[in-house]
Amino acid sequence: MNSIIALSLFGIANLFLGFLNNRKILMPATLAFILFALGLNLADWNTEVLWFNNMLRTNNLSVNFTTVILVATLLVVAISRGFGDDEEHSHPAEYYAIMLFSVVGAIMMVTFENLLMLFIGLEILSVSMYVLTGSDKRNLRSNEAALKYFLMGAFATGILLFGVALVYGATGSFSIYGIGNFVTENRMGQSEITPMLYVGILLIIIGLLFKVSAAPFHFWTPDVYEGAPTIFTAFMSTVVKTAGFAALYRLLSVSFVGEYGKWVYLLYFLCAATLIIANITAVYQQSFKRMMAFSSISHAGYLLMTVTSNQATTQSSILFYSLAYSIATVTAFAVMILVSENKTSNGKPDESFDAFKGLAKNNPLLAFALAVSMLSLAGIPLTAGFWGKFFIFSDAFKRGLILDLIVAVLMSAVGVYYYFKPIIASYMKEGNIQEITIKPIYKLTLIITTILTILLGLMPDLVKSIF
Amino acid sequence: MSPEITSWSILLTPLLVSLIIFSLGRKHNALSGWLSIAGAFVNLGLSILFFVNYNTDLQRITLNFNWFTLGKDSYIFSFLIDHYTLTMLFVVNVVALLVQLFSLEYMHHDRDLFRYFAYLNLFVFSMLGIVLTDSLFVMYAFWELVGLSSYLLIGFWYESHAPNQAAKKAFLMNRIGDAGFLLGIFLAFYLLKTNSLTAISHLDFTQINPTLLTATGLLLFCGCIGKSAQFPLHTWLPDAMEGPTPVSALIHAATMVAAGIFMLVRIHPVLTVDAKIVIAVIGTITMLMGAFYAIFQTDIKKTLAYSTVSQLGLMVVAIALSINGEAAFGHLFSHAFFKAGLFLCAGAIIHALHQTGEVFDAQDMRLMGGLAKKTPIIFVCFTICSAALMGLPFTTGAETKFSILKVAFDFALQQHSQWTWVFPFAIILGISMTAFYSIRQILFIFVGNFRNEKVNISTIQERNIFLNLPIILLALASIIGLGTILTKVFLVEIPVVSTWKYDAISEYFAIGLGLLTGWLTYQQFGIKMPHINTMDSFYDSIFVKSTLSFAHFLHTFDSKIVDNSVNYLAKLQVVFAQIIAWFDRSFIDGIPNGSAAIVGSVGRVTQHFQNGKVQWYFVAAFLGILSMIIFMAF
Repeated sequence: MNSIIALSLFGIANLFLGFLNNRKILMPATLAFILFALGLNLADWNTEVLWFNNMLRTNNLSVNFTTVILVATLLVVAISRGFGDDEEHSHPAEYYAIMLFSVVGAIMMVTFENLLMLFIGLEILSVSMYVLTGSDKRNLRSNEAALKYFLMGAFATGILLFGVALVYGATGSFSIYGIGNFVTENRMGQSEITPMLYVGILLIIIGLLFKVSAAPFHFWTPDVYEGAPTIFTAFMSTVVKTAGFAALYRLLSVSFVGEYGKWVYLLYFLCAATLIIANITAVYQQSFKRMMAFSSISHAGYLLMTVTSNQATTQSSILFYSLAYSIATVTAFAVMILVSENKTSNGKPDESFDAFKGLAKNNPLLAFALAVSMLSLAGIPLTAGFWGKFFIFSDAFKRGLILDLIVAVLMSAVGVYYYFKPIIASYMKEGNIQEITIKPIYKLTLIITTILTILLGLMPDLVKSIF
Repeated sequence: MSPEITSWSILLTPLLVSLIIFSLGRKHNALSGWLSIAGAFVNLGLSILFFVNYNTDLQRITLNFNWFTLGKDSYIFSFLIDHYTLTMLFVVNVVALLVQLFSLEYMHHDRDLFRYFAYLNLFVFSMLGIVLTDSLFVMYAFWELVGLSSYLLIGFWYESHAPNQAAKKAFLMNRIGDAGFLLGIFLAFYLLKTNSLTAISHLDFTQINPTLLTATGLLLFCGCIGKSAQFPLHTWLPDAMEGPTPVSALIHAATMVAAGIFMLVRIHPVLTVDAKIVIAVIGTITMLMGAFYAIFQTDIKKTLAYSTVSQLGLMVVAIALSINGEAAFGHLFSHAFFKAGLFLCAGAIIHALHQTGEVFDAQDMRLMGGLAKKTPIIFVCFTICSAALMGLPFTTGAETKFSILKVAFDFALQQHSQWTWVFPFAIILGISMTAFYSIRQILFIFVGNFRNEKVNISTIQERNIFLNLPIILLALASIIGLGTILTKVFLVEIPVVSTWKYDAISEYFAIGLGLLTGWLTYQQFGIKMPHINTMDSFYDSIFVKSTLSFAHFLHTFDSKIVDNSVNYLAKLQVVFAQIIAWFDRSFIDGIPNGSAAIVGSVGRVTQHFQNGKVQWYFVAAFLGILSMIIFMAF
C-alpha cells in the first residue's frame, strides 16, 4: 500500500528530474525508486490491513503479486537504456514517470477491495499504456497501434463498468467480500436470483478478458505489440498481464465463487479456444515480435486454465507462472532489442526471425540468454517455465478439466515449434552479426534473468514455498 | 558456521570455481590454476573445520532441504553427515589440492589449461555430491556427473586418437554399470519405499522378500562394478591412463574409483548374505586378475592402473565379508594417499624425461633404470608409497590391509564351512603378487643402468617444488608419523571377533615371498619380459594351444554356420526394413505431415481474421460476447 503512495510521488519526482540537463541520472533514479517501493511493499509482509474505508486490502497475496509486478518493472527499466539520446523523439523523464504511474494502477488492481478501485486501477494502467504505445510519435505503426489499443480498451472499459453497475444493482455492494457473501447466500436460497447478477458477472469477466487478451478478445494484441516500441511491449506483456490475472482471480475466487457452476464452463471453453488460436497462429508468424504477441495470448490461455480450476493452489500457480513468464519474456525482448537495432532492413529495425541468424557466433551471451528464455517459454524441463506449466497442469488435473489439459499439452508441443525458431536461427544458421556492444547494466540484467530462469527450474520451491 | 551452510559451501565452491574459470576462458590460463588452488584451500579448510566440529562416533546428522513439492509429496535434497562423509570430504579435498598443485607445473605448457582446471573442479563438485548426499536419486545424478567429468578429463587431449577412444570406452563401460545401478535404485525405492540412505539404514528387512532384496543389492553393486572397475567391466581403467597423469592420480586412483566402494559402504544394510557371496567372488576375481596383469605391464602407469583394479577388488571383498564397511573404508582411505602418491611420482618421472626434449615413450619402464641417483626425492617417495601398497610394516597400508585380512579370517571362522577359507587365502595370494610386481617396478625404474640410449642421463633432473611438495606430503601421509596420526584421527577401530592365529605370520611370509621372488626374477632375467613370462610357456602348452584349436574350431563354425545364417538374417532384415520404411513413409511420416497440413489450414483461417481492421475486431468481439451470453443463458 505504501508503495502506491511512494510510486505516485516518485512519478512526479521523475517529471521534475526531467528539468535537469543530465539525462543519465533518470534511469538510476527510476531503478532506485522501484527498489524503494519494493522494500516498502515487502515491509507489508504478514500484515493484513484494510485501507481508506475498505477501498484497498494488503495481505500476503497482494504483496506477492506486487513483488512480481515490481520485479518485472525493474527488469524492463534496467533494459531501457535511458531511451536514447534523440532530443526530438524521446522524453525519458515522461516515459519513466508514466511507467511508474502505470505500476501504481497495476498495484491497485492487485490490492483492490472495492470494485471502483479495480476500475480506477485498470484505467490508470490502461491510459498509461495507450500513451506509451504511441510514444514513437513519428512512426505510423506506433500511432496506429495506440489508436487501436485505445479503441479496444475503451470498449472493454465500457463493458467492465457496465458489468460493475449491474453487479452493484443486483447485490447492493461494491466490496468484493460483500458481493461474495451475497452470492453465497443467494446460492443458499435465501434471496432471489436475478439475471442481472449473471449478466453483470459475465460483463466483468469479459472486460477483464479483454485486458489479459484471451480469445475471442485478443485481436488487438498482435497489432499493438508489434506497433509499440519494443521496450513497452515487454512492459505490457508482463505487468499488464500479471495485474489482469490477479484481478480476475481475486474476483472469481472471492466474489463469484458461489456461482462457480455458472462461469466455469464458459472459461473452460474460452481457455481451450485461446490456446488453440494463439499457438496455431503463432506458428505462421515471420516476425519475432508478432510471435511473442501470440505467445503472450497463449500464456493467457494457460493462466486461464488454473483460474478455471479454482484450486487452493491456484494463486501460487498464477504467481509462479507470471514470474517465470515475465522473466523469460523480458529476456527475450531484451535480446531482440539489441539484435533488431543492430540489423536494419529498409531503414527499420529487422524484427523477423532472420535477424537472429548466426547470433551465437560472435555474441554467445545473447544467444544463450535467448535460448534459455525460449526454452522456458516453451516449458522445457530445467527451466522455470517447465514448473510454471507443471503446476498449472496439476491444478487443472485436480479439477478434472480434461479437455483443457489435452489441448494444453498438445499446444505446448506446438509451442516448441515456434519457440525453437529463434534458437535454430541463432545457433544453426549462417549469419553475419558482429559483436554487439552491451552496456554493463544491460548485460547484468541478462545474466541475472538467465540464472534466475535456470535456478527456478532447478529449485522451484525457492519461491513456490513463499507464494 | 551451521552444518547447512558449511555443507553447501563445500559442495558449491568447486562448481563456482569451475564456472568462473570457464567464463574467464583461455586468456586467463595462468590465473585458472591459482584460482582453482585457492578454491581447494578454502574447501579443505572448511572440511577440516567440519570434521573437528561434528565428528563424534555415533553422530549422524541429516540435513533436509525442500527441493520441490508436488501436491503433498515434497522432494527433498538432503545431506547425510556422518563419520564416512567427513572423512571422505577430507580425502577428496586433500588429494584434489595436492593434485592441482602438481598440475600447475605438470600442465603449465598446455594451451587449454583453463579447460583442464574447470573440468577438474567440475569433477570435485560431483564427487563431493556423491559423498554428501543422503538420497539415492541425487547420488545417481552426481554419479553420472562424475562419469561425465571423468570422460572429459580422460579425453582432455582430444586431438589425439587414443585418449578419445579411451574416454569413450570409459564412458560406455560406466554406462553399463550405471544402467544396473539405476534399476537397483528403482527396485530399492519400490521395495523399501524410500530413497533416503538414513531411512534405509534404520529399516527392518525381515518383512521384505529376500530374493528381491538380493536382486536389489546386486543391481546396486552394478554401479560399483562400473565405477570401481570390477570384473568384468574393469578394462576401462587401464585405458583411462591416456588422460593426464595428475588426473589419473585424482580420479582413477584416489577418488572416483573409490565412489563405488563408498556407495557399497553406504548401502551395506541392503546387502543380503547371498548378494555378499556374489560380491565377494567378483571382488576376489578382480583382485587376483588385476594383480596378475600388473605383473606383465611395461608401461609405468598401466602397472599402477592394474594395481588399482586389484586393490579395489580387495576392498570389495572386504565389504562383502564384513558386518560393516569399516575395513574396506580404512583401506580406501590409506589407498587414496599412497596410490595418488605413486601416480604423481610416475607423473614426475614422465615429466622429467619429457624435459630432456627427446621424443620417445616416456612411460616405458624398459627405457628407464638407475633413476634413483638422478631423482632421489621421487625415488624415496615412490618406495615409501610402494611399501604402503605392499603392506610393509610402518606404513598405513600395512594396518588397513591387515584389518581386511583379519576380517576375512573372522568371516571364514564364523561360517563353519571349509570353502569360505578361499577368501582369506586369496587375499594372501593377492598380497604376495602385489609385493612381487611392486618390487619389480621399483627395480625397473630406479636401479641398475639407464637403458635409454637417446637420452643423456645427466640431463634428467628434479627441481620443481610444485612437483615435489605434493609427492612428499602424500608419501608422509602413507608412513608412520603423519600417516599414523591421520589413521588414528580418521579411522575407527574395527571389532573382530575371532581370527586365525597365524594371520600376521602368513601375511608377512606372503609379502616376503613376493619380494624375494620379485628380486630373484630381476636378478635372473633383468628387464626382459619374455623371460619373466616363463610361466607363459607352461600356460602355452596347456591353455593357449587348446584355446587356439578351440578358437580354430569356433572360426570354422562361425564362417560355415553362423555367417551363413547371419547372411540370410541380414537379407531377411533388408526385406523387413523395406516394409518398415514404406510403413514409415506412408503412415508415421504421414501423421506429422498431415497434422502440419491441418495446422496450416487452420492457421490460415485464424490468420485471415487477423487482418488489421479494427472494425472487424469489434465485430468479432461483439459476436463473442453475444455467444457467451447465449451460452450463459442456457
